[in-house]
Amino acid sequence: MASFSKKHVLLIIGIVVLFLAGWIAVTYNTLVGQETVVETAWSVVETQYQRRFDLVPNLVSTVKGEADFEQSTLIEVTNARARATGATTQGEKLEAFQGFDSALARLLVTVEAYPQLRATQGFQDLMAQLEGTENRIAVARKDYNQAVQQYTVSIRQFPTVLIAGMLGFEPRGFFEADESAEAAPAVDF
Amino acid sequence: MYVLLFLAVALLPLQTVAFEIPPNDGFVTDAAGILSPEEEQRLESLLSAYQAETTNEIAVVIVETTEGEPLMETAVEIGRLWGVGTKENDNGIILLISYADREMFLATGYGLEGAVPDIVAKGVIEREVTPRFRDGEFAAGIEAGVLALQKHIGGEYTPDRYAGSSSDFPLSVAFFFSIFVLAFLSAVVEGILIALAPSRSWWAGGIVGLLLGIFLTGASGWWWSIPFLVIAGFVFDFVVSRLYHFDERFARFVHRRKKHRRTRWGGPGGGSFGGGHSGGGFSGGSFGGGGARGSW
Repeated sequence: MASFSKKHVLLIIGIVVLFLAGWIAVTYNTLVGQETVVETAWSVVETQYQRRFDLVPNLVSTVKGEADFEQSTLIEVTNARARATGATTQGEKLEAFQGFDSALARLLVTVEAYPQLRATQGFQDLMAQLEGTENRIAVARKDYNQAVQQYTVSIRQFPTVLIAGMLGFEPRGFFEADESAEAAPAVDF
Repeated sequence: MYVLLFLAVALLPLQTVAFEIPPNDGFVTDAAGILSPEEEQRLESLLSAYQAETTNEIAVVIVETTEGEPLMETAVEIGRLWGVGTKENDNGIILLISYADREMFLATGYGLEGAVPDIVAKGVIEREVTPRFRDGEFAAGIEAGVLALQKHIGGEYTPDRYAGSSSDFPLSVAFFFSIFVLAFLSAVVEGILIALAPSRSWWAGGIVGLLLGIFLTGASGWWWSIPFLVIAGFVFDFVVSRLYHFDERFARFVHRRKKHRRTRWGGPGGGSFGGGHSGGGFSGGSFGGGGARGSW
C-alpha cells in the first residue's frame, strides 16, 4: 500500500480543483443554454402579446360606435394595456400581461349584452383576430412555462443548486393557468 | 370479496384514459374510422402528390374525441410531434377533426401563417368543409378543404426554392468528428493505463474513477455513477497493476504503448452519427397556434 507523500496530496488537491472548475464550467454552460431557451420563449410571448395590444385601438373604435356602451370595462382594458407596455422587468410584465387578459375577458363578457354590435362585420373580423392572438399566446405561454420548468428543475437540483445562485441564475416566474385564460369567452361568431 | 370490489371502485377514476395522440398513419390518420379505405387512399395520394410538388405537408387527423383537450393545443402538439412541414420552412398544415365533438381545428405551421392567415383558414372551414360535414360527406369535405388550401397557398413554396440549401449536418463532418472523439478517448484510456499500471498501488484508479464520476455529475447529473466508477477504478488499477507486475507480456505492451505515445498522437476509429427523425414521412416542421377552428 502506497503512503501519501506531501507531493501526492498536493497533486490530488490540484486535480480535484481542476475538476471542480471543469464541473462549474459545464454546469454554467448547461444553465446558460437553458436560460437562453427561456429567454427565447419569453420573447415569443412578448411578441404575441404585442400583437394583441395592437388590436386594442381597433377594439376601442369598434365598441365606441355603440352609443350606450358601458365605458368602464373599456377604460380598464386601455389602462391594463398601458400598464403592460409600461412594465420593465420580466416579473412586472408577466403580471401585467395576465391583468390585461382578465380585463379583456371582462370586456368581451360585457359585449355579450350588445347583439347589434356583435353582428357588425368589423366586430366579427376583430373577434377573429383576437381569437388568433389568443391561440398564439396560449401556445407561447405553454412553451415558456415548459422552458421555465426545465430551467427551474436544473437550478434546484443537487449539486447545481449549490452554485446556481452564485453564477447568477435566478428563478423565473410561471404563467399561471388563471381563470381569465381558461374562461376566455368563447369568441363565437 | 367486498374489499376487492371496493378496491376496484377506488381504482376506477385512475383508469379513465386521458387523450392520446394516435399513431401516425401517413398524411391521413383516421383513428375514428369514418373514411372508407378507398376514400383514405384517395386523399393520401392527393396529399403526397402535393408534397412532392411543393414540399408543403398537409396532414389530416381524425379522432373520435379529444377528451376535453383544447383542439388548438392538440393540433399544435400533433404538428410538432410528427414534424409536419419541412424543418427549414415550417410549411405544414394540420386539419384535426374531432368526430364525436363535431369540432375541428385547422392549424397552420409558422411558415404558412402568411399564405393562410387565420381568416382564410376560417373561411376554408366554414365555406368548404363544414357544409359537407353537415351532410355526412366527410371525405368530400376534407378534399374540398384541401383543394381550397392548395389554391390559397398557390406558388408560395416550390421545391426549387430550397434547392441547394443543405438540410442536415453533413455526414462527412460527423464521420471525422467521431473519429476525432474516438481517437481522443482511446488516447485518454491509454494514458490512464500507462500511468496506473507501473505502480503497485491501486488507490489512484479509485481517484480517477471519483473524478470521472464528479465530471459526469457536473455534465449530466449522474451522481449515482460516482460509487460505481470509484470501485471500477480501484478494480481496474488493481488488475492492471497486478498484470503489469506478474505478466511480462502485458508489461512489455504497456512500455511499447508508452514509447509509441511520444511519437504519435491518434488512433484508429470509426462510426457514424444517426440523425434523429420525426414520425412517418414528415420533415420536422413546427407550429405556433396559427389557424382557425370550426364546428358542424
